[in-house]
Amino acid sequence: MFGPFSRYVHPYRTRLLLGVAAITCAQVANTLIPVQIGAAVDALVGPDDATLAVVQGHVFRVLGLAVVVALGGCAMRRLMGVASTWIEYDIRTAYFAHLLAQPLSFYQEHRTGDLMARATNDLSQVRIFFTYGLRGVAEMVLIFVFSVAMMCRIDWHITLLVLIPLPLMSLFIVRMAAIVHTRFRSIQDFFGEISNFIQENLSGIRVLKAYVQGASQTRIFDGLNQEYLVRNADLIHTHAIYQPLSFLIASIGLGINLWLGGRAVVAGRLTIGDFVALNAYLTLLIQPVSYVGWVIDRSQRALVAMRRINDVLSIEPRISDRTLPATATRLPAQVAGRLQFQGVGFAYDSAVALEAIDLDVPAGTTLGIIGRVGSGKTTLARLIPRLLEPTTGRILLDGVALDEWPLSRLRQAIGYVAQTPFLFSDAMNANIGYGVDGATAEAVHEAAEQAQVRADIEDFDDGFDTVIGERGVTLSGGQKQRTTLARALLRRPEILILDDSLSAVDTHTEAAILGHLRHIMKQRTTILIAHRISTLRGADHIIVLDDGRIAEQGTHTELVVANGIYADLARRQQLADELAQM
Amino acid sequence: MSGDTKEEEVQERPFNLRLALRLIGYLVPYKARVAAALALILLTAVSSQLGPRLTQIGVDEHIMKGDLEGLYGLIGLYFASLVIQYLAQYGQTRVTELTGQYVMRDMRREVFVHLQRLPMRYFDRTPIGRTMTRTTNDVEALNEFFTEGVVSVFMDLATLIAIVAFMADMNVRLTLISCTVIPLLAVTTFYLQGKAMVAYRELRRRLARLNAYLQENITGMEVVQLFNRQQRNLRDFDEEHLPYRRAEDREIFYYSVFFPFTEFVGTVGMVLIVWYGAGAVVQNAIDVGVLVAFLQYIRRFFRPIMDISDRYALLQSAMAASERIFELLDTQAEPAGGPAGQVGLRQDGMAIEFDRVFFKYAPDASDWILKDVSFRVPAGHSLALVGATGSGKTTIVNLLCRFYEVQQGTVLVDGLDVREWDVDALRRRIGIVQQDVFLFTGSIEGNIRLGEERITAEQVRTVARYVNADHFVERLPDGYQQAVTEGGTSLSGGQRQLLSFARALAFDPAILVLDEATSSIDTETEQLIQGAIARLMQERTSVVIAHRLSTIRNAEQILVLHHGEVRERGRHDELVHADGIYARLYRLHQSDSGASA
Repeated sequence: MFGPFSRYVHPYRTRLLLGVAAITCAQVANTLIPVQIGAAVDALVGPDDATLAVVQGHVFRVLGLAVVVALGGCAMRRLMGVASTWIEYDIRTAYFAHLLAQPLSFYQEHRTGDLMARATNDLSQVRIFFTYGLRGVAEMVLIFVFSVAMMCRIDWHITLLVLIPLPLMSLFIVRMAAIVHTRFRSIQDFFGEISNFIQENLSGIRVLKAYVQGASQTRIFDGLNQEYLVRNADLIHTHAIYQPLSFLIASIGLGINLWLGGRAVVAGRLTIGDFVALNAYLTLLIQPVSYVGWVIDRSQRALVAMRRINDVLSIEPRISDRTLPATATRLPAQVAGRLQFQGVGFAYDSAVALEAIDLDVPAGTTLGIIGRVGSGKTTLARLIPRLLEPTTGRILLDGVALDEWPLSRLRQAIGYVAQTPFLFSDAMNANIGYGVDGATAEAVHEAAEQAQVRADIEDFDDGFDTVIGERGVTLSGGQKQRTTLARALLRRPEILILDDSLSAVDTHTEAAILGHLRHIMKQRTTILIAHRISTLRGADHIIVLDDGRIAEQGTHTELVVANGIYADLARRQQLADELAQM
Repeated sequence: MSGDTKEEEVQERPFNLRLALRLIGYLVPYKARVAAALALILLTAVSSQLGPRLTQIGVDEHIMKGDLEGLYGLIGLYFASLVIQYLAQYGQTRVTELTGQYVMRDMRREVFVHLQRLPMRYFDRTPIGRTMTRTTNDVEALNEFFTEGVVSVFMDLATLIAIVAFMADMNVRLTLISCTVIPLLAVTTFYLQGKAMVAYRELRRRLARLNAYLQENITGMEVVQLFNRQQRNLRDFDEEHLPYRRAEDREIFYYSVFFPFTEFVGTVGMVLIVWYGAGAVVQNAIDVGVLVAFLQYIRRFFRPIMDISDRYALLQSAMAASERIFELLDTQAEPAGGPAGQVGLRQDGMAIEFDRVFFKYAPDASDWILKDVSFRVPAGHSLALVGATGSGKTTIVNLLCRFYEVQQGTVLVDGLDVREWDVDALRRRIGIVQQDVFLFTGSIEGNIRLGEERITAEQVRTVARYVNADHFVERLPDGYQQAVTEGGTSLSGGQRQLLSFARALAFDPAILVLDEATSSIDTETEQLIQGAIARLMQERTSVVIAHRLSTIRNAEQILVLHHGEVRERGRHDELVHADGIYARLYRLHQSDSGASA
């Protein structure tokens, strides 16, 4: 019955049903109160001598009923409210868990803003529906049904006539709600336009100042600002018509009752107490009637929002352990680190990024990769920890195809330092210890030492406890790169991949880092991507990538002698270095 | 609920009279509207509470006495009061909310105008997102202060008073009895709402953190997965997620007590009235209609009381938003400068002179960005600035335009200190062709003339032809009206460069600054650009920042900057012979162009 919600509602169905039961009790009691009041009034007007005793009886009954209403209302809010918080919790957890399993390609197709919008705006729509909307529906239906039933028992003629304005008015309200909704959307859209304009103005402020365009920009802004006002005025107009309606509807009903009910009382067809009871029922009906539009609107929004969340949840992760062969391949107990590329190619949609890559990197050696921007260096590096899967060919680690290794085991063996350093807004030691559960302070310090960032960190006020990011210290580009290197080194990986990750580090520090690495990585495999010849000089084997293919390969000396792309780069960098040293 | 997860700014502030008065100051231009709104509020409050009183009269004077004629008259009156009440409420909502919108418009405009006058220093250190929030969301948050806050409190008080007045008009004793529920309602409302608000704030804070964590994980997903942190992060997430749910639970708890309780108090009020009223009716002290009317009124206490209690939270967030807006408005604008240059445009080029200029961006930084820089460019001559990234070339341009103030020394334009110049007049004399060509959303034509209306469509075409931009523009489907998206991504680097030349020329500056592009441009465009540069530099004083040395060869004076100091100066041939920094740069450049060919 809940369509896209059913998966999440199911575990809490008992609570929700109990909630419905509680509110049913409360509303039954609630609709019995006006009858009691009416009876009390009749007793007062009646000729009976025992009037006060009778009234007293009714008063106590009303009090009893009020207690039931209060307890039932309380229980219902608790039961349904708690269920709604758990439902929201479950959806958010499922969403996050699902994102954690998605491969890089998923994040290349979905923008962060969009994924976040689903977790924030859409989830909040769902939450509002479960916390308020669902209860609203239940309350609305129950009050309406019970009240009308009670009113019909008193006098169904009057009831029918008194209720006539209701359906008409609620139709009108729903219609107005739709108009309010579209006008609101149009305002929101225009708000986006104003935001874009301001954003552009701020981004281009230097040009605008240089060309003294403050006044003309203000003129354009005035236009937008005025249009925004006009659109808001449209909404206000509708809103002003719509807002006082619910009160009016109820009041019209009361007026009709005063007229027809009054006439019936005078004619003796109705007691004054019944008249009072009818009045009370009409008052009870104000809320549910005015909420119809709101509830319909909320449920629709929640439905759309839930679908948007489910759209993401239904995408199967493309890279996972599902590809593991049924009978586990015999994996070596210890990863040695030999990598073989056999005819590997990779294409993003139709754009070929890598083609016919054949390589053998023996365990314990260093492979250097150099090439222009867009030549495929990063793509190649990303294939090794299976952030991406080759479109053709295959890659072997220690003679076993990558997709026959359990993903976590494969990645455990790799220390990958990406081109743009990414650190979390957390303490330095948490950042460096990111990949190792329960890393000791000693190990963290040692890794920092090897990455030449220890002294920098110790200079901070809180040392390794210093929090970085928006609410903490801002690191320089070089410090970030060295921290991410320390993070990778702490894991003592069998394969270390540095994707141009020392670009912001000065040459002197870089040399020191490379010296350390040579020592640490003696028994391990290193993939070193760089722009600087000086970084690659010591590699056992260097490949030059050009347009996704291996254009040249060999050792530094061989490549210089070959006098190709590599040699040319080497010459130019030497000149630039000389200049920098002046 | 906004998706604003990055900014964990203070959302609430205690009530502050100074801020509130400053805010109310924005209502002054609309005092007539405010007065009308207040009058309409009174009318609404009175007419909306008329119903029960009329019912009482109907019951006691007509129904109970069998007077149908009188009853019909009364019903006519009743419906008339409904019409009045509806119209009054319609008018009141309209006037109030529109006034709120007018105030918002004025405030947005004030913020925007002020932004245009803020110094570059402000934009350097303030993230765009934050400034955006000031102009949009923060202003929007104040809307509620005006439409809901100020006006509604008045409305709620008026309603309460109207109810009590109508009650007292019928029976004072019963009124006093009814009023006993008010303190009970008020106390529980303020207490429970307060508790719920605390829980709500915690909930918001945790939600912001949860979302920040989520966002960080999405952006850093590569790292999360490479380090096999999925399980662990899910657990970490839960550590924030469970307390969030608990806070939510707590908020719901307070409300689950609050609403049933207030309803219960309402019913108790009814019981009290029936109980005491019954005695009075029996003793014929009051009529039964009075009882009926009281039963209706007592239910109406609750809404205004709850509203008033709600306003406080609203007030707090309005305080926080207004504090941030006023802080921006109080940020010192850049100096407007002296009177120089306000009238009369000189036809010939203007001389530029830097006299022992020292400068750094951050006043407390230890290193100077420019150290003792002096040079003079006579009117109509050209100067080339050469040096590595960070040597201070762009800073010289920034000082020339007075985007920043020098700490020592003087910058002179046309023999006058830039501080004596009217800032706008000074900048109007200078045309900058920037390295990063910034294109605005709009048309090609709009990007050439920017917002300047005195530049005609004809002039736009003339300058485009002059800098060789006409060829590519005319090939576009919509020509000069072709839409350009933000950042100009639909155009090639060379095309954007040509547009920026056209832009500079359209403003016909006396001084031309070329901050030349480094991006690789195809040879055809390269030739077009070289041609355009030569034409632009004719008869103008020009400063060229060059990464490609071909432009520089012809400069009458070359300045080689190194770490903020002038290390070499002279003409191309002299500098090549001197075999210093310039000579090496030149050789590097030769080898560069050799490699790309």
